[in-house]
Amino acid sequence: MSGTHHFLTDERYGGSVLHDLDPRVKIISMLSLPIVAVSTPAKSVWAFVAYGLILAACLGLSRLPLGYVARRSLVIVPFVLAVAVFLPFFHDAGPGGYNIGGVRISETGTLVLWNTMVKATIGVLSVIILASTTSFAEIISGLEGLRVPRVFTLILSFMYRYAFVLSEEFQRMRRAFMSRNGGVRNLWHADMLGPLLGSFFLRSYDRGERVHVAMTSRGYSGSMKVSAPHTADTADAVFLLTMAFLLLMIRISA
Amino acid sequence: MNAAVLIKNLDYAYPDGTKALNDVNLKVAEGEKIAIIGANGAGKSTLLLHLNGILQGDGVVEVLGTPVVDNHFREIRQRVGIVFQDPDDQLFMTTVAQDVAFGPTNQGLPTAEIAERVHDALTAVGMNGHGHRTAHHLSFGQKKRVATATVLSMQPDVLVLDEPSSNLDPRARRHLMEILQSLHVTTIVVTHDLPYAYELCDRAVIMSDGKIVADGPIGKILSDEELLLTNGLELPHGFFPVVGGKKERR
Amino acid sequence: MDHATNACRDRAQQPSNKRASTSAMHIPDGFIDTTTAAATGAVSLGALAYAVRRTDRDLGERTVPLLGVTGAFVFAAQMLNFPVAAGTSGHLLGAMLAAVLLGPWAAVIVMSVVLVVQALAMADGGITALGANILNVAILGSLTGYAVFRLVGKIAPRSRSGYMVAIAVGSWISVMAGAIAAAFELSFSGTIPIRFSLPAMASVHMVIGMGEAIITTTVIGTVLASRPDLIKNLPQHLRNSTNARRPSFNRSWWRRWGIIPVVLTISLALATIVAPFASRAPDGLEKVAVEQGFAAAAGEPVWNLSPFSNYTFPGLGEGTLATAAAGAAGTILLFSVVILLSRRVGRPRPETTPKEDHPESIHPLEGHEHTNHRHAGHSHQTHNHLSAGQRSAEKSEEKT
Repeated sequence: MSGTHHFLTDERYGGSVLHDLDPRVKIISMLSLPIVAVSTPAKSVWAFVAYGLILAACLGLSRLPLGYVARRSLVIVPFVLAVAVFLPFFHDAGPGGYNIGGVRISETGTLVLWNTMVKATIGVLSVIILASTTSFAEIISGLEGLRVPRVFTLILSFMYRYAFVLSEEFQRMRRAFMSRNGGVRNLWHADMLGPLLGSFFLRSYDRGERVHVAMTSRGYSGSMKVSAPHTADTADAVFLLTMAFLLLMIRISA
Repeated sequence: MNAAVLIKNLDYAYPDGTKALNDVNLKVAEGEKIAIIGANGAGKSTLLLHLNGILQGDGVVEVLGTPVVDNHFREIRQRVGIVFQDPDDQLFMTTVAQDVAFGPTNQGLPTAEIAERVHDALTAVGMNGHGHRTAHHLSFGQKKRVATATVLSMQPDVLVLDEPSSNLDPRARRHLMEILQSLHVTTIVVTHDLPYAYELCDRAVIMSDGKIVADGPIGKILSDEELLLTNGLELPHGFFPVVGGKKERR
Repeated sequence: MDHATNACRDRAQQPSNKRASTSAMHIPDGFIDTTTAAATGAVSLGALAYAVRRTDRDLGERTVPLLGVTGAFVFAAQMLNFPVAAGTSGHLLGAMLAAVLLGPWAAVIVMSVVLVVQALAMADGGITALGANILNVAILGSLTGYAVFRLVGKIAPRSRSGYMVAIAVGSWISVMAGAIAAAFELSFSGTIPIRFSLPAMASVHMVIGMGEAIITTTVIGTVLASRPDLIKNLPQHLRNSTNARRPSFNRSWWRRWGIIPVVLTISLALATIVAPFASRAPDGLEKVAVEQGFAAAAGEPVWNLSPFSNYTFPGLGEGTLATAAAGAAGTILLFSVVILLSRRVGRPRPETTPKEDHPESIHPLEGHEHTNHRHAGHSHQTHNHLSAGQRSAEKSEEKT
């Protein structure tokens, strides 16, 4: 399997209670968490502890390997660092704050860093849990079930389907290029990349045309029917309601 | 009795002006299995696309008596099923079952019948039980079979295949042949694989430069070495068709 | 096989998550506050709704497969890291590329879907920040880039080089527009004050923008040379394929007038970076942002600009000028490179795909605008600049 898209796994990573939930429920729950968290004022530290507990519970239920989750969450580190860099410029005249090697960081500055760090972490973890317990196909059908306009879910599903195909084609082109370029290791010189990407685009475009011909030949006329509807069961209802209740309670009290 | 496919005086030129089809005349009877052979660029694939109206040229194209024109496309595309060369072009849905269901769904069939057709089509190609899988995980041979199923589920009257055996390993090739031989439907095969054509079809048509230059029993056509050579074809090494004697068709 | 194992090794070494470090545009959760998230979300939704209507009208039933596959292409292309200058590496955004090839509104959709996938599947970009990210990359990236491209195309010489310059400038602007918007969003949210977010984002993206311009130009150049029919709304003088292939670097024009676009762009770059520091407006902006953010609690302005005593951070004065100078130098460099490249890429190629080898590369659906074509059998249709959507409407294929 190509290394360029290993994180777009189309099979789920493991199995658990969370894996088996209705994708609509998972999407709503796991995406509500960052939304509610972001709207929570940074000062209510305890609220974030509560969100963290919810996440921990979900992680436990999902039985995902923690190392894997931690690795994928590293995505946010550079962003948080960027905020940290600008910290010394948050001054306020009031008391509080710290001195680190002659640089003064105010209380408000610390609050900003805390705010971004905790919310970014919550966001990332929620999405990782969602993505790792739900196959992409399920996500697409979950979105459809949530009445996301079909044009988007269709484009999404095609994109997903052909990302693999194109990626492999590109690898083949790249291999061919590498075999003939006289030992240049670095592919990415702009004037070589351009024609390579250009041909790659042409191939992709041709592919799109052929797919359309295949679709038309099978009666496609621009609109597609919905896939089989989901049936939510008790486990789904319980999960969703519990999540909704908890989030609501935390947010109101924050 | 209508011919399954009737083409009369068909001309077609590409948008840039190049003539692709030049006064093509072809008549295919119901139940016939014919092979269209020819060098690359002869116009074979272009001709196929006229059978379901993807391309429209000057002349007559009829399928089972219905002209292939705009207001009949829906009907035509149910009657003519084209299996294209690259299965990845035809497996564009998220799961195999969805791909096979695509055709019947577009035909507006009720859910229960769609499910039945999906099941039957997948069984016919030996891929029953693989409905939940993603196309990406299938081997090439499996993809080809599923691609065929996506067309079979529409229950066409005319089955058209563009290079069905290309890139298949011997076992997959055999498997597909068994499937094609078991289907009792008018079949048109475009192929370079002359032995494959010989095994499946009774009649062959040679195309060259957009024209049909030969049309007759396949044994006779393939035995005519000079005819083949003039049209950019030749028999694979060691392959000798027997004129007049062919295997019993199942 | 040697090449195969080399390729496998290369693939293994290929940076997988590295793009996170260069992807300054995909803002995570928490960096955008609720108000800004809601506002950008609303704008994005509105623009997307319009984009869907427009694209559906233009492309009809070809929308889904075409955009889907292009989305896959952009997605795959974005995976590539390439060295831009002096150790920095960037990657292709693709908004401009999509806009030129598919039209700006289709590009909006494609890029939005790519962003959604990145947010959901790769945790690249936050959920609450999706509105902002879509606004920056998909909407502003596609629309401003395209608008500038058309604008420059009008004043540039009507030649291949002129076209390429327009693409280059458009690409650069598309990157900058998103970056600047992001800087403001970050500031409004109280995350990074505008005085820092703006020069930081602007300067970084000036370099990324250069890479984007170079790559977009060379890719379009390739497409132009082999399949000019694929480019939506290609200017008349380039549609004739021989014209597109001819290396048409108009030296004399550049000698006389070349200085104008260069000066214009440099001025624009400088204005973008220097003005916020020269004017008093940002103070006002900051005050507004502050009122929304944490200082509501503290009750007084959070930021003041005095660099602290024993540490000369690239303070405002030097930083501003340094950044502006870098931007100017980068712009000039960009244009030199573009001019050189448009000469190389413009070399006429032999007919790339003889029909015998690619029977499938016929245009079954004529979804592009052709200039001269004789199309037997379609006497009832006119072929002047009909969009595919209109054509299928005329065909009334699906009216049964």
